[in-house]
Amino acid sequence: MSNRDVCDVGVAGMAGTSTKGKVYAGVIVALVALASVIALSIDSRFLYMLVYVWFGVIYGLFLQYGRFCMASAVRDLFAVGVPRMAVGVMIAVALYSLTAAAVTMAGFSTFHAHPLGWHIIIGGAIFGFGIIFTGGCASSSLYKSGEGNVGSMLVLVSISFSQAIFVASDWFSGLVPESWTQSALEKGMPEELTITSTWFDQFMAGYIWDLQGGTVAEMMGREGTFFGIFVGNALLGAILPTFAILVFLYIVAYRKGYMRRAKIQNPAFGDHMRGMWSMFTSSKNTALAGLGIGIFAGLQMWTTGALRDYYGIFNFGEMLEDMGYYTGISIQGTVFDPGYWYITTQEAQWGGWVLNKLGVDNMSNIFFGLENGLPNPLLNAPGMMSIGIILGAAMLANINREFKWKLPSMETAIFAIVGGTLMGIGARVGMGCNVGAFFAAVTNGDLTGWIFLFGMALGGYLGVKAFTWWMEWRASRSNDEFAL
Amino acid sequence: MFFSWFGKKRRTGKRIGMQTAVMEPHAVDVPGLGMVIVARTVNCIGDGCPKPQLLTLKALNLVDEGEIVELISDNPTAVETIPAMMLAAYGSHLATVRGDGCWKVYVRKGV
Repeated sequence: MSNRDVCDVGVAGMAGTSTKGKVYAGVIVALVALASVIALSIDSRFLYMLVYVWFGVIYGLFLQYGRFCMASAVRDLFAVGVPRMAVGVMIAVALYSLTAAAVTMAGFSTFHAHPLGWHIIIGGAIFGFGIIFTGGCASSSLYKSGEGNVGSMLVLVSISFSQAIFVASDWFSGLVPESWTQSALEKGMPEELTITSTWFDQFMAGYIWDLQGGTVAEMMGREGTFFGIFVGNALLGAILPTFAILVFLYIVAYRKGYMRRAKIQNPAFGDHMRGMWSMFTSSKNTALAGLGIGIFAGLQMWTTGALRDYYGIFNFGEMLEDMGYYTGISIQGTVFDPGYWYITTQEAQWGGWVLNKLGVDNMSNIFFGLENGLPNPLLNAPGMMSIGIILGAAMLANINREFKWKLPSMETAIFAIVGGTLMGIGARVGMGCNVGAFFAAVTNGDLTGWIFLFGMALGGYLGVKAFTWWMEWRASRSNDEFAL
Repeated sequence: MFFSWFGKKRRTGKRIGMQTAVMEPHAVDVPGLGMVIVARTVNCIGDGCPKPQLLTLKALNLVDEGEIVELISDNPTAVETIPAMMLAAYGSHLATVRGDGCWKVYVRKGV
């Protein structure tokens, strides 16, 4: 019997809540459907954006079902020695890599490999430190917001604004190495961009653009072939590293407890196999969620790729201009439109858009002005996917009676804002979050994702140390070891 | 001064639904288990991970072998982690019970 079934043996009278929850879930679906019909009646080309919305809803359902949380994966492992979520995420990586390979093989992949450099490990570590304090990664903050967790909503706000400010402000420009400034100048970028004024612009133009990256298939010179995609990207790039990590997790975090429980003194090979299997099944929900996300993430790339062919565009920005929406599009005529599961960039755009409306000039930097644009949140396709994730999670949480408006304590709220700021900065330095820079990367044969994971684990480890220290310090000050 | 301000809530006992958590040893009727004596209650209403997990571990360290610790939490992720945590820690997961807007998790020290 799974843990969730036990929870259903209620003591307090909560009968009827479930039916009410189903009604709420139905209302959410109906509202999303109504909004879709209205959008399509305005312009049928909004179909392209609605693909993002509905895939977001599906991701939300799976994320909530599996409690798919990279923060919990890293934290539970280091703080309390539980590999459950880490195992689930790893199984999800292996499964998603197969669907991603199928989509790449079919020629509909929208994935671009990330450049390789030190920034990944540093960004990952800052991000990993932050997620311990917020209690959720970029994806789980979305699904937890859907569960009514106000603390997670604060995290989202904090991620949005910290990124928007970080990419556009010149607060850190004194820290830019001379070589970056030189290199950025040599790029010959358009006059209207502030290429040499902010830290992030020079980081992008003077450092990132000089780096190389590629998938395993490209490194082997076999891109586009079955061997390169399935053996290189999926097997070598994702499945083998995953398997190695799973064995490592079993040896370090699971073996001892399993053998003690099964009362096995001298374990043989078969005992270890059963132990591994028991470790996998304890992560069943997360692994199933990973399988679902893997299949649908592949389908999303496929659908978006096919729609781009159909409409003859390479980016949603072109379509927006065709439809008569000219504001918030970058000088290249593009907006952020990855075509696959992504989290943090669209959140940066939300914060950036609000700041822009408040009169901040933030369209002259590389991040917004040249690459991603600052579309109205209603026309921000990946942003709509994030809204879809929240709504999908809210649906399932209502059905399972797990929805509850939860106000954070003052401490949780401060941690949410500070941790969210670190997550935002880490995500921009590391070129993505645990989804864009890790999950979507490794599954498409981009090894930089493993580097991000290493950085994130490192930051997470330090974060757990800092958090434990904080707990002890608080307890020692109040004469009550539980006064946290 | 500032920090003591937001630690106050727990010491006075947080309200959970209509009842206030009993922090002292007390008897509880757990569905499927019958009457058990809870040696220590950890109240984590409103707290996110990893506090419920860490405080449960801390409580398990304080009680004697065979004694029972009760965790009260409204965080589903934390609640679901406890059984898996008991596989790694020196303890057993007895039951998870749905309360009024929260879950109560019972764990015993010792395998």
